[in-house]
Amino acid sequence: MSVRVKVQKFGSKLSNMVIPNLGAFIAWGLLTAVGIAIDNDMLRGFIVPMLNYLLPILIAFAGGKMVYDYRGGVIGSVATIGVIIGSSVTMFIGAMILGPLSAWILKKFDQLIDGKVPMGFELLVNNYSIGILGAIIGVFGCVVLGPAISSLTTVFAGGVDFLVVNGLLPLTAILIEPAKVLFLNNAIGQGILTPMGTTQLGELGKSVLFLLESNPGPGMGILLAYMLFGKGTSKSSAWGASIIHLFGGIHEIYFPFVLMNPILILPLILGGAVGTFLFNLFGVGLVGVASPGSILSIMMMSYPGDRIKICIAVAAACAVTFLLAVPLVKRAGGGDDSSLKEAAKQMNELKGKKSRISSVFEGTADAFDFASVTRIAYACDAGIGSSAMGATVLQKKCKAAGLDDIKVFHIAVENLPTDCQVVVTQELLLDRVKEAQKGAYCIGVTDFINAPQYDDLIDQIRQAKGK
Amino acid sequence: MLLDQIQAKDIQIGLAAADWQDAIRKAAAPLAAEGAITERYIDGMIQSVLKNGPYFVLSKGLALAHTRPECGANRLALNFSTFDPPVCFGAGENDPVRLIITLAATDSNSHIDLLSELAEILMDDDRMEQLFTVQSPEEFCRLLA
Repeated sequence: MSVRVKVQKFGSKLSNMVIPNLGAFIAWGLLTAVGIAIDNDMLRGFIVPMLNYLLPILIAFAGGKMVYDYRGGVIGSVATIGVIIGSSVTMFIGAMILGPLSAWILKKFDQLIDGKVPMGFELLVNNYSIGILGAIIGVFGCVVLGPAISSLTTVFAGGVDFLVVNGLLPLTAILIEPAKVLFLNNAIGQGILTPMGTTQLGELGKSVLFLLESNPGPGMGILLAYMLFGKGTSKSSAWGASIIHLFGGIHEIYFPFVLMNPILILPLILGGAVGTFLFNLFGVGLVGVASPGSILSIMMMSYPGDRIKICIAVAAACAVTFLLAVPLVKRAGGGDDSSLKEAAKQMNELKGKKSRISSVFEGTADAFDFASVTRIAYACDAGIGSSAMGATVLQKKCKAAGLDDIKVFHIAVENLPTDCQVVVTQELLLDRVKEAQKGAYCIGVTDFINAPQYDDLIDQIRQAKGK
Repeated sequence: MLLDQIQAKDIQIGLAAADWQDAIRKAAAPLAAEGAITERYIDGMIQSVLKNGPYFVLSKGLALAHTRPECGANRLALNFSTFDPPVCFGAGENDPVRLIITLAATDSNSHIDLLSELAEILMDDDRMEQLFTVQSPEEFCRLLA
């Protein structure tokens, strides 16, 4: 796999964490935009907790769920709270690392202990494995990852500081734009530019530094290019993203688009540089921090008389980025196509799997790989009595048949893990189980103690395993 | 609690019931009287059959009456009640039910050893036939042991 494809895949993974949560981003953007516009304390109260906690945790959940389903989502969320607490900057990047990573660790752990948990303790072990691993990774995030990500910003800070001091303001875009795409935007904005800008404020009454990172123009150019010349999902999601970006000021929303096609960093840098050059040329500035980088909050914070000039500079930045991005987005149209093709291929593979499963449902069970069965779920409504009894009986029968490595566990239908191999349940509940378990071999029984299906199942497994 | 702790007081022989709801109530009455379950637990069992069908009729002639712990199970307890005449639960080929084992469990795992012992008996057809037809609680106890 070429590096480009790898980066693209990585980018689309990132967008898979962001896109499902667009609704929450929109809610945040609305509350923020309205809260700032009407200067309402209650609405402003939403801004920081939602940005610092809700959104990163949602991203972590989506990332974790991508790797290891609901359990992955839970541990991803738990682990991410650590990196949020351990750092002063908004931890989208931490969430995107820890969400999938902790889910992966949990997955490996579960594989390790699979089949070794004494019967009846599965639920306990399941909960405590998330609890303990989540707590440990959370602390790791707080102590190691959070500060590490924070310290990355000091590298960029040094560079930006040097350029500002030497009057090379437009060149700061070379550092700021890539840093943003690495989700260090708030760190750069709040950690570096704000303190420096505040110093200028004392001398000049306004500062151009507040505009460098918050300028929504370059990002808007990227999104416009995707809206008009993108393909498939990237095209359709660019519309919603552009509103959140421009008015909500959540620049994070366009970063995945760039990560999907990293060459777009060049139009961003040039657009940013043009914007900053014009800001400087016009001598405009803000009287305070425009956070988030919404066009609304920038207008609110503009130095009197600077509004139109700022708008022109933002629009120019947007236009430059857009014009340069169009050919790249179009060209990537080929790449996008191939990723679409890849998606289609995956779909086909899924379909193939599905048809295999539906054939299992129709009774031609020979397609199911009984040799690989290690766990059998026994499900009932409450997960207390009937399933526990059935599981006990089936476990005894497995043991008697020499299938010592097969683990039968009981559980409520609603708590069934999604990756079950074989599910046994009451005939009455079979439809509910099949609904939830598209990939599993499902058996409905009427007699929990003497079901003939038990012996059939054991025979099939024994034959498949060659015992 | 394991099976050898079952005493004559935990067993009712030859009850008669108007219908399955009555049967569940009669079978569970001793557990409610001694405080192992609340009335709400009994209603819970009936409600869940109404909702999910007779899912706890496990095998021919046998029901393991139970519902979720949060419906009012105070401690782990069992009651065995045989019915004469047998009771129809609408459970198809498993009807009619001759033995209702009422189970009160406080969580989904603490009673597994108990069920494991019970399973040995339930899987033994001869012993089950005897249990269905015994005439006294003492005799029933002896068969469990």
